Amino acid sequence: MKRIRMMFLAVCALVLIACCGCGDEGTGTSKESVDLDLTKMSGTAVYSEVFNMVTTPDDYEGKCVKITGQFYHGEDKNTGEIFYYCVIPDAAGCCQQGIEFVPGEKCEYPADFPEEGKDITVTGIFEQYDYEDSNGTVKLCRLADADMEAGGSQ
Amino acid sequence: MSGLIQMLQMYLSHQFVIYALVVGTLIALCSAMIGVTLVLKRFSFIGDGLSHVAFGAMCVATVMDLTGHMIITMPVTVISAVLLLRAGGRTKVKGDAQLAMISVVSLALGYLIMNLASTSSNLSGDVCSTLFGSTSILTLTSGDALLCGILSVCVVIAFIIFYNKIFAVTFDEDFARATGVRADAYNLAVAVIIAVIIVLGMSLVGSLLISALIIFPALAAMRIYKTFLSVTVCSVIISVICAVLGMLISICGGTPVGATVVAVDLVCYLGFCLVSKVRG
Repeated sequence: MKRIRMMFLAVCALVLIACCGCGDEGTGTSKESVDLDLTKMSGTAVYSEVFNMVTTPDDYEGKCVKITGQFYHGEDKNTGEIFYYCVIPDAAGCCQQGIEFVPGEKCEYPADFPEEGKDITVTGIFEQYDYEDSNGTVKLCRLADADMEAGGSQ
Repeated sequence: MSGLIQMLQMYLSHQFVIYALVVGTLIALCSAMIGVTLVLKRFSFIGDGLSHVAFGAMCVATVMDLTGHMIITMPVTVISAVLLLRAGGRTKVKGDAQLAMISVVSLALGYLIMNLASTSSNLSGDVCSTLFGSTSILTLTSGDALLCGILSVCVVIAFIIFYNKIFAVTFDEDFARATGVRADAYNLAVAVIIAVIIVLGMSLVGSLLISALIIFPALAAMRIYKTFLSVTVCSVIISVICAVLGMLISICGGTPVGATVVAVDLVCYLGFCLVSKVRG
């Protein structure tokens, strides 16, 4: 019984230590202070964080996010609008998470962008926006006013 | 060392890491507790079979576009556990053959249904992630974490309350029945607990690796300790430590979570084997 009590206390201590690590992730909205620097995290953690950003975007609205991944682009065939993505694979390489970004400065594709699949580092403000497609209006998220650098920081 | 501490502090400032550590600890705790009973009753592979059933149920839930998979996965897995563990010698297809049949059929039909009817843009990735638990534990919502936490606490409380009865039906079911213990009822309770733990454990290590989470801590503890209580307590401690260590290594090192946790469990088991051999 004493051992069970000790074990229970050890588990509680572990949980408390884990909770002590909870911190404010920052509330700045300018790119001078990066609230969420994913370039310092491992591939597994980055994939998970981007997944959470896409599935619970309200928690990240307005935060400055810095991320390294692979550059890809897509085009809306109806409007001709081009979209740019930073894609992160998971540790096993079988799954990918990506986030759209909008360059802050006027850029022309493909002259001002790296080749598809090349590493890039993007810093931008996370925001949600409404997009009209053939099925109606959908809510998407992206990094707005983004600075883009070729190459990775990881 | 200070660099390692700084890195851990950085990761622990992220909510998804906290959720993963808390839920992973609880899942490891529950798995280890029931793992001792399963190993002693020679039902070690039941975890594998039930996890494949859970995978099949989850595929159906995905195709039906249900946001909460547990609404289908949990009842189907519980029913399967009850049928497998209670049917016993009263069926034409016996024990391990029955388990193998249900296991492969669930896996195959689940994957077939996903291929035929899923709207996912990355089907193979979704299936791979579910089977091997590469990042499932790191992508829990607050609702998922709360549900897993509540279920885990219920399992722990049930185990502690029914500890003596579970002990009796584990070691000598006939004697327990002869002394008035309702062995069938407690076997049913054990089956339900196993099913709940399997569904929860899938989010930590995936369908294919859940057996490791259940049996390795128990087997490691049995190398050193000989009483039921000491084996259970040691198994729980081993499981929790290995799960937390595995998750932290995975998060910091960028490795798949499920496989890393199982690898740490294996290293721990080999360590206990070595200690047992040295002690003689």
